[in-house]
Amino acid sequence: MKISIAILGSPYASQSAHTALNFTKAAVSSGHDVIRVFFYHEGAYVGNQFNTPPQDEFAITQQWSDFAVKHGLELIVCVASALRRGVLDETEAKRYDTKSDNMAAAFQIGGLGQLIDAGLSSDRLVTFSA
Amino acid sequence: MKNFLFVQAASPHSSMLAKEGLDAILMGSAFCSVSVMLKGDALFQIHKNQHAGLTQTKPVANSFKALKEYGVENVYCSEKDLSDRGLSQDDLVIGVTSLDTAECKSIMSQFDIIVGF
Repeated sequence: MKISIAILGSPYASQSAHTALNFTKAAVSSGHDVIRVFFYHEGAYVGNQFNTPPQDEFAITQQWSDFAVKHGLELIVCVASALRRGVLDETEAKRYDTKSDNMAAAFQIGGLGQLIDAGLSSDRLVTFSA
Repeated sequence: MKNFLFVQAASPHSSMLAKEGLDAILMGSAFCSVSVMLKGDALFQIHKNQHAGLTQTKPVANSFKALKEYGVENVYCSEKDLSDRGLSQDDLVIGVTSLDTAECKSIMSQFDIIVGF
């Protein structure tokens, strides 16, 4: 089955990104095709590579990056949500002349159209709310 | 073509969720058939006489008035959610179709994709 995931919750004020990661791991290991993971609303904060939790805590951003690289997953962060919350890739950082960029590995900036497309091109769009 | 139901459940100015949900609704309407359901305190998103500027936020009610131009025909709510909040159609900036619980369930089953905000 083709599955897409939408994550709306902040990494440290919600269980959304954690539950979604567990779900996505289970989907992949069961042989499903995860088409896209879309980070929207507070979920955009998950893409911030400067999230630096203590070493004995679960590093949600790193975990998503590692899993996406290992399985070739597409992690899209909505550009409007991301800019509002200070999560910028290299292109956006140049455009807005910020001191640095902070998009984590394997995450890409994208647009809301990709959330709609994820719904249209998957058998299921599973939302993990804020 | 698949049809979408966007379920808005957040109050209008407690977070960005109402605004970002609305952005997704408008984007969806450019690609496919879209309907909206306003659940619980989300009904206040279309309450008349909001002064969003006082809370340094943007008004969301105005955007709902544009939904028709974007081809969003159906905006649903539950009649209990309306009456629980002491609201009537006259208090709202757009017309909504109010449904009882059984009708809400049956409407929701008609959609291919349901996205909740």
